Amino acid sequence: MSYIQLKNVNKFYNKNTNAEVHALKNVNLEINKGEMVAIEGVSGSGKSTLLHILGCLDLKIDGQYYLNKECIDKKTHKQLAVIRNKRIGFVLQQFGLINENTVVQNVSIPLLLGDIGLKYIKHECLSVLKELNISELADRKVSQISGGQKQRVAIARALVNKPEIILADEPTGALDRKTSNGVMELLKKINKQGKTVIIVTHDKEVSKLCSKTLRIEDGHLVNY
Amino acid sequence: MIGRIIYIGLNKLKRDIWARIFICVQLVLIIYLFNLTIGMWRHETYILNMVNTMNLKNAYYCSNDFESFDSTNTVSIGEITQAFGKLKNQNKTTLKIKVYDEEITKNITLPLSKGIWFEEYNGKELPIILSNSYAKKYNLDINDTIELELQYSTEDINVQESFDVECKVIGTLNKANYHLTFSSMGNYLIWKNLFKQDESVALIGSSSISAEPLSGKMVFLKNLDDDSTVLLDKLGKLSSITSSQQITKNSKEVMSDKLKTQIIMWFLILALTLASLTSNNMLEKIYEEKEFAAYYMLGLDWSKCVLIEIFRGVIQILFSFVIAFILLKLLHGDSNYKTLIIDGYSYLLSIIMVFCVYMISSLWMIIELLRTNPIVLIRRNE
Repeated sequence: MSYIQLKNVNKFYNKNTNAEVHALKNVNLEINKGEMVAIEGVSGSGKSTLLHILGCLDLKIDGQYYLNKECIDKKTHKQLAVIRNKRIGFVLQQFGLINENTVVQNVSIPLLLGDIGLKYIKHECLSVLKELNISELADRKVSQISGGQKQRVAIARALVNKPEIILADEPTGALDRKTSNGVMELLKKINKQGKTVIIVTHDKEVSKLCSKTLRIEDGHLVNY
Repeated sequence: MIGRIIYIGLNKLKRDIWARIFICVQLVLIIYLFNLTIGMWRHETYILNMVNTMNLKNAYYCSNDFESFDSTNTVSIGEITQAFGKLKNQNKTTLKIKVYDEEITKNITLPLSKGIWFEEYNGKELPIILSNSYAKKYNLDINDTIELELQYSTEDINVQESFDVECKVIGTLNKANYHLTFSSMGNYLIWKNLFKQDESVALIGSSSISAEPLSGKMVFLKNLDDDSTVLLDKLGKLSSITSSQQITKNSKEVMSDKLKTQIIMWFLILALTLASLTSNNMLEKIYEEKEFAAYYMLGLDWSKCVLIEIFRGVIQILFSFVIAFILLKLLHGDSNYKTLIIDGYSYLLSIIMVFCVYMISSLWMIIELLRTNPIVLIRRNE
């Protein structure tokens, strides 16, 4: 069995109303551990919905979702929160950082929501910032750093809890080409360290760097 | 996890410290105003509640004094006389002494903060009940014996009589210091005309001290039968007579008029609270939604996000409450129980009110968090 598996997944919004939207249609998906996968699709095709499901953010679905042979779609909110915290790291196009906080405060959030002792948190954060060569930003406010630096901070936050999967939603969407290349190199490096990386993108250049590309069109997963 | 929630909540408070201080200023004013309004209302209703516990069903107030009346087995008449008293050989505040006769002490029991009412006392010394404030001021307690120099006017107003008595303190009035007294008043009688407050008052229960009689009497019917009706008719010819039921009815009418004005004030206070807190939350919406969405995405379930919001609210409310409490004590500590009543219940009520309104004002944001995907919230508020 694959590391990540979706079986006959359908996702509806406003089900049984006039505004019903069938966002994902009978999606079957298998991703192995350590793969770097791109999910391509135009706006409104359902790729973000798929990412929300894979990231355990929205599991009101018809069908089954298995993560490392474990059925995820029947878990409680509390159990899903633990999965998001321990096993998944998120990198977003808009970074999702708290601008008024410092870099180290932002990176520390996943640890703060876990069970690591408070006194070890700063040390863990600094070590991941060092690994990504941004330790000099530790005490700067997020509002004072550049877009590329923000994305590196977001990646540091995604990595700090040592998750198995990195989910990236258009990670280069808000960056120029040079900075994008830097971010993609970083994601590739993370993938080489054994982490499964799933990138939702509409950028062909990004897809080319991945070992597998899936395409989603009008809720259907194609060329799979 | 509770420790982490507190940690995150405190960090959120620290971050926007000035905004939080301004919210607290609003909350302080609201708690202050709420306590003041509730305190005034509670003071208004205090006498009525007090009278309700006295069971004065068959009591009547006669406004005019009358020389004599043939009491029978069906009716008893209570009188109050008045004097002034000073603690012998001590330069302390003069006490207004109200001497209640046996009929008054038998039929009316005033609420005490300490000690016993005259009816329960069977000692030999003359019993005295002091006002709460006077007892506190001069550190007098029950079972203390005091020597009083009593002074009163005789019927010839220019002649002052005085004599010394030794009294035993058997109780102290409650904080409000309400006591029964008669004074000239119109036909529209309310309980506030009969029960007055005084900080330097003392009650003596005795039928043997003939001090200056107050104009007015209380009539207590033992049974409501034909004989008593005839007697009431006779009394009605001698004096203007008002039943306790009528006085209660009048008091309720006066209070209902006041309540109408106060309800508007309460409504305004609530509207002010809700508007200020909601407007503040609306201004913060962008930051809050995004921040909670980030927390959710990174492993906090919504219930804990709500707990952080509640914790933050509780801290602000408690801090504001402490400031409002200090302000109320400083500005109205002396008026408490004189013109308003502010105590634990008022404080508790104001905290609950502000907390409920705070939560209602945060509710729409919580609902928004529950029904929207966090990534959508982050994208929307970036």
